[in-house]
Formats: sequence, structure tokens, C-alpha cells
Amino acid sequence: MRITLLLWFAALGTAFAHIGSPNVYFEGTAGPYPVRVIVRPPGVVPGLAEINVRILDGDADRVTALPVYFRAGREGAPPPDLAERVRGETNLFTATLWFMESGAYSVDVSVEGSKGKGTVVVPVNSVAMTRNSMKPWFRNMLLALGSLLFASAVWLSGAAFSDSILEPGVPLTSKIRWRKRFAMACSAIVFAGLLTVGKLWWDKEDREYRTNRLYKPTPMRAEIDDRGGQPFLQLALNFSNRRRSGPLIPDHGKLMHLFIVREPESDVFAHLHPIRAGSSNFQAALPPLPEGKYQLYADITHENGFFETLTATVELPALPQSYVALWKTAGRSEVICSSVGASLNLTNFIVAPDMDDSWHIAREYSFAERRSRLPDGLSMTWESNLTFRLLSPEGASLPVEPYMGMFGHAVVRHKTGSVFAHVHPVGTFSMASQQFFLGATNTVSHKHPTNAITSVSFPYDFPRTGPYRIWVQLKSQGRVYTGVFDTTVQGSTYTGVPIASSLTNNSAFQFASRKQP
Amino acid sequence: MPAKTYWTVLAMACLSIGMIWDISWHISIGRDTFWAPAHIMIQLGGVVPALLFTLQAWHTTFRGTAAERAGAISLFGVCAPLGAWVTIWGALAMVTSAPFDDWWHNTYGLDVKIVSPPHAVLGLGMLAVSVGVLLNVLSWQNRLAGTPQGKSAALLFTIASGLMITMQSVFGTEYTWPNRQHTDIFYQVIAHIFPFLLLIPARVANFPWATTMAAGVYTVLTLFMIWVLPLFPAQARLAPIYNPVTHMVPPNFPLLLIVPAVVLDLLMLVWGRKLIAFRGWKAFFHDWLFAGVIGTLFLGLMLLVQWNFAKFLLTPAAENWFFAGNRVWPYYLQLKEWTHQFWDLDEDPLSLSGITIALVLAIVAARLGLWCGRWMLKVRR
Repeated sequence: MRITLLLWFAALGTAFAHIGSPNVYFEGTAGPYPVRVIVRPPGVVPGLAEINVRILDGDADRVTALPVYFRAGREGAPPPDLAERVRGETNLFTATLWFMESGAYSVDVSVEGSKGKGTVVVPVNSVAMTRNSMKPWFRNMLLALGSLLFASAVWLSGAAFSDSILEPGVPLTSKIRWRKRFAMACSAIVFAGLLTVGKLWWDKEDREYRTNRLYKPTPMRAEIDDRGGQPFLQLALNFSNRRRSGPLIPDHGKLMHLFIVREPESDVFAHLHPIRAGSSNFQAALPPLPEGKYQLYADITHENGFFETLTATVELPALPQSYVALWKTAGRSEVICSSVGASLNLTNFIVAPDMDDSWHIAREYSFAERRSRLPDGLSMTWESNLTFRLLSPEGASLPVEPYMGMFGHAVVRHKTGSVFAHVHPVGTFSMASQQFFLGATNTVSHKHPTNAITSVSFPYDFPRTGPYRIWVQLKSQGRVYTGVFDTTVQGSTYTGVPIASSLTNNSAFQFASRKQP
Repeated sequence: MPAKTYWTVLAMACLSIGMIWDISWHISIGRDTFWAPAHIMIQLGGVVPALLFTLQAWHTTFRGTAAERAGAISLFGVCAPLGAWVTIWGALAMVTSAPFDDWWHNTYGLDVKIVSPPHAVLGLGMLAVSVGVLLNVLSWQNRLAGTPQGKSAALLFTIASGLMITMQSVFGTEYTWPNRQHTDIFYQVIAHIFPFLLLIPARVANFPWATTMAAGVYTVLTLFMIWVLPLFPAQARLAPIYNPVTHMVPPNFPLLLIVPAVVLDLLMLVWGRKLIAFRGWKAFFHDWLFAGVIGTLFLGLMLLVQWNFAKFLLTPAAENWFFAGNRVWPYYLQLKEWTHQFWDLDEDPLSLSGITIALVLAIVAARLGLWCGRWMLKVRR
């Protein structure tokens, strides 16, 4: 029997969509009901996922959860599971669902009540991500039980060839005693052999799990290429996993959302949108970033609804001055809304920048716990939970505009790089994947409020303790502003049930988290 | 023979029936919970005999007569017969497998196959529970030989042997699917299991046609499950569902072990019974010779009947409630033409080398069965 401590996988190895942050957060409306859904996928497949549904406004009588596998669709789905109301709560429901296969699932959450009925579709990846270690007490218990079974089996073998074949009351003779010892010795060898076979079998199963079943992100290689004296970023993806590979589909308009962060200070950040250059290659124009080693995170969604975050590193040399000069706004440290700057220069670039590319080069004052200073005298404040607000130099709240279809983008990164998440006000899932599960005829309807939005909330919960840096991108008056915040998360970070917050008049998206910045 | 002996055999039946029910549950409904009725039935099959034997050990040790204690085997002063100890050992193994299996599910995912390391521990425990019950019944048969109750004990032993065959056939399900019955692996699997199990009642039971009856128990029990399980409505509760079943999915039609069993009983009548009287080298020689004949006959007969019967099971003629030819597929499989085809004919077709290995396995298994049977006849405690 194999009793060994299994290795913890490095956090990067446990990535799928996002890094080290497996829970899926959703916030939207199920018919007349605003809801927040948290899906905690199992670490293994098949495994049991936990679904929490909080009704943010109104009373629901019945909440159900339905697992839908990408290949089978809703025709291949079982009857929905009834979510139970959490004891002591009026608007919180919970359910568990089995994910039996690897690949993209959606959880269809339906809410029924006096206001009517509505359904939301929450896409989730089902992949094996963890490889548990065996706790010492558990290992010792199994060892003790195994030893007891081994010793008693050997004793039973001896008894089978001695005491048991004697007539009642007849004592053991010397010959039978020796036979008993011989039987025990032989059986000990046989049982030890069986244990060895068992261990080899266990090893084989473990190897098979690590090699074939444990999720590994699609490998990505990054390098800086040069054409006509202009450097650009070249990404090569290796779609070797046939079960997961497939054409990519755009997520809010882009095939890839690439985030790059300079190591080790995390002082430079860029949000780029590489374009496809061949079947598995992507290219992106390089913004005028300083030289250094960069960590890359690329969010992609496959045609089958599976979404993942790929990682790579690249060493960026000092960019030629002639190239930097192409960027009209070079030398500015703040994020630009490139639709203005880049459009003027598009024809000058060998690899054209994407209109929605943005980046941020930090100055000392950029980092803040509560307030991040921005260009033009603006600032961004972090209010309760993950709610942010843009302020004018006079301190008045500025209206926020959609940026690539979202009222905001937040990138959460643990200082060690072990956690990375790209969060929108609607959640952490891929909108493209959601569209896949909704079907071609249904379009996603993330209703934008008609009143002016002055604060944006992101539904997210920090998965582990430690220091984090958060980049928040909000667009106002045609420009994208990136606020940078630092925080340290302490203590237990997840209870599975976030605290509800109430809707306010000037914020369409609310989030509640246990952690305070 | 005490009433609890009957109860222990009934519990043994719970193990076999519970396993078939559990597999049907997993491929029809799919919902996995420790408290599923089939799981409870299996656990009862282990717990009930273990409890009964523990009570017996308690009674023998602290309240038993000197004769009762003399008829038991003592471990640290606790007295119980060999069968009781083996059953208690099996129950302990079953208990051990539960947390191990749970850890396995949390570490590698729910294993949707029968053969996995924690299931092997569970299977070993169930096997030991059954062997313990079998030994207990055997000790009564051996003690009561020649009395009217001896007949009941022999009958009970034969039934228990049939239950043991049923249990082992369930363990081998993944390899004995009709679609695999034209491959080497199928014949090698049945060759190393069934000659051994068929020879136990043949050699040990004081009952005419014991092997035929034991094989009959296996056949009837499996047929019973094939015919009864589909009477109950069922709906898959897990996604993805490719085969929307509406009723509990039955097991496959039983192997035609009844054929070699009849031949074995005939051989026992004309030859086998004499073997028991032989001693020394004569016994050694005759046992090997008999094992060679039995092993060869078993494999030859199974090749003859199962090979052709498998062809029939894959035809539309078997698609009915009686044979359940096309009604055995789980909810999670996409049914296509492969359901009517033989599998692995490219990788593992029946070959001369494969069948030679199967023959050696069958002969060795038969020899072990004879050896084990000879030992079992001696069991007194």
C-alpha cells in the first residue's frame, strides 16, 4: 500500500481560466431577479462542484441548478437539482453538482418566485487541477490498519494449516507447529508480493493521472521579434491536446486578451490584444514599455466553450528610440486610450496596435491602498469590497463608460504570481463561453443601466492570503484610466458564502466580499 | 447447525446482489452517495456476518463450554472458528477501504471503473467475508456429515459456492463483456477464475451435482437481476447523458458456466471422487492429470459455447427482455454500431499464444482448486 506524501503542484500548474483562482463568480439578472452565483469547481474529475446562489433583490421560492456538458448540450442534461435554502438565510441557496467529464460545462441557474422566472448561464471549466497530499494522521491510520490486516492475514494463514484442521481439543504437534510457521512465512512472502503489485498499480494510476488527466494549460512560447527595425511580440501556442484544442472564438471582441506584468516589481502593466498570425501564432505591437523580464498571461476561449489562461515569460530589451518615437504619447507614464494615439500612427506600424490596447508604467505614487493617482489630476478610489470610483480633480465622481463592452476590467495578481484573475463587473467567466452555451440564436444580455455609472464593483474573492496588486481599468470621457492598488489579504479568505450588499442608485453592479482592502 | 449460519449465507447473497445493483445504479442513475441503497446492501453483507461472528466469538470466549472453546481457534485468548476470523478480517478490510476510497475520489476523481486500488481492497474484504462464511458452513458440513442436517449444510455450502462464483463474475465484468468474448484477455480472465471456483463445490460439497447447482445459482441470480432490474424506472441524474435510460440497466447475460459445470460433475462422478482417497505421489500425479483434463475441457467448452453465444448476443435477436442484448448500456455512452461489434479484434484477437496462456492458467487454477478443496475437506474448526 502506497503511503507517500504527494507533491503540491506549483500554483502555475493548477491554472485553468485564471491562475490559482478556480472559483467562478457571476453577477447578473435571472429574469426579474438580480443574482450572484459562485461555482466552486471540484479539483478532480469526476468531482462534486458546489454552487452558491444569492438572490440580491426579491424573494425566490425555488432555485435550481442544471449542469450542461458542452458536447451533450441541454438534451443531454439531467433534471435540474433543487438548490436548498441555507439555514438562517432568506436569499441564499446552495446545491452540489457532479462534473463527470473534462471540458466545458455550464451551470444553468433558474430562479422562480412571485415576480416570475429567470435563468442565468454560468460557464465553468471542468478539469482536474489538484493532486492532494495525504495528511499525516490519515497516512498513519491507513498504515496502522494495513499493518493490522497484514499481520492478521499472516496469522490466519498459519491457523488455516494448523489449528483449523485439527479435531476439536487436539493440541498442536511439533510437526504441525513447523507447518504453521512455514505457512506463515510463505503467506508473508505472498502478501508482501501482493502489496508490491498494489504499489506498482497505484504508481501507474498516479502516473496516468499526472500525465493524461491533470490539467496543463496550452503551452505558449513568447519572444520578441523584429521586422523592419520594429520590435513586436510573437506568441506561439501549442494546441497538442486534441480534446481541448479547437478554433478560438472572440471574447468581448478579441481572440486573445494578453496581460503583461514586469517582474519582479509588478511596476509595468499592459493589456494587449494580439492578432492571429497563422494557425497557432499571435502577434502584438509592443507599447513603449521599459526593458525587463515580463510575465505574460493570455486569456483565450476555445470554440467548445473551454476557456483558459496561458502563461509565458519574455525578456524585453530596450526598445529602439525610432520605434518609441512612433508612439505619439511615448514618455507618458499613464495609461492612454490608444484609440486616439494609435489611430494616428497605424500606418507607421509593421504590426498594428489594437485600438483597445492599454498599458501602465508606474511611478512611485501610483500604488495606493485606497486612492490611486491618475493623469490629468484624476484619481481612482477603492471603496468597500472591490468597488472603485473615478474622481475628478475636484473630487466629484466621474461617469464611467463601457470599455470593450464592460464597465471595467480588473486584474488581480498575487505578488508571487501564484494568483492571477481577469475580472469584469459581471464576473470571472468568459463571455464567449457563455455565448457558446446560450447558443447562436440567443445573445448575451448584460444590461447596461441607463443612468450614469459612477462606481464599478467586481465580484471576486481572493483565493489565498498574502500581498496582492490590483489594476483597475475604467474608461471615462474617451480615455482609459488604470488605477493600481496594493492590499494584503490576511486570515481565512473563503467561506463559500459572500456577504450580500444592497443596490445603490448609482451603481449597477454590486459585489460583496468578506475581505476588506 | 445454528440459524445464524443461514443468516450469514443470506448476507453473502447481499454482497453479490448488492454489487450487481450498485453497478446498475451507477450506469442508470449515476448519483454517487455512500448511502445509496445498493451501497447499504453491500455494507450489510459485510457487517452482518462480521457482527454475528463477533457475537459468537464473545459467547465462545466468555460463556462457551470447554467443548465449544476446544472447537475454536484462539487469538490472544479470544476464541472463534477459522471462518469467523476470516470474515472479521474481511469486514476490517472493507472498513479500511472506505476512507481509502474516499481519499482516492478526492485525489484522482470518482473512479467510474470497477477495478481500482481501493476497490481491490474492498473486493478483497468482500472476498474474505464470503470465504469466511463458506468456511463456517463447510465446518458444519464436515462436522455433520452423515446426519440429516449434514445434507442441509452441504446444500448451503453449494449455494454459498454459487454466490462466490456470482461475486467473482461481477469483479470480472469489465473483461467479460460479450463484445470482448473473441479476445485473448477474456479467455485468460475466465480461465484463471472459474476452474478454481467450480472445483471447490465439486470437490468439497457432500452433494451430487454440486458444481452444476453452484453454476445454476450464479446463472439464476444473474438472470433474476436481468429480468427484475429493468422493471424499476430510473433516470440519469448526471451530465452528460447520451443514452437516456428510462429504467434500471440490467447486467449482461451470464456466462454459460453451466456447460462446463455439468461436464465437471460428470467427471467427478466417474473419476474425481476417487482422487480424494489418493495420498502421496499418486495423489499428486492424479490431481495434476485431473486438473489438466478439467482445465482443457473448461477452456474448450467455453470456446465452443461462449464464442458462438457472444455472436448471438450481439445480434438483434438478443435485443429483448430475456437476453437484454442491447439494454445493458450506461447513460453516459453514445450508442453507435460499436455496441454490436466485437472489440479489440485488432489489438488482442484470439491467438494461439493467447489461448495457450489461457490453457495454462485454467490448468493451474483447476489444480489450485483441487488443492484448496483437499484442504477444505480437513477443516474442523
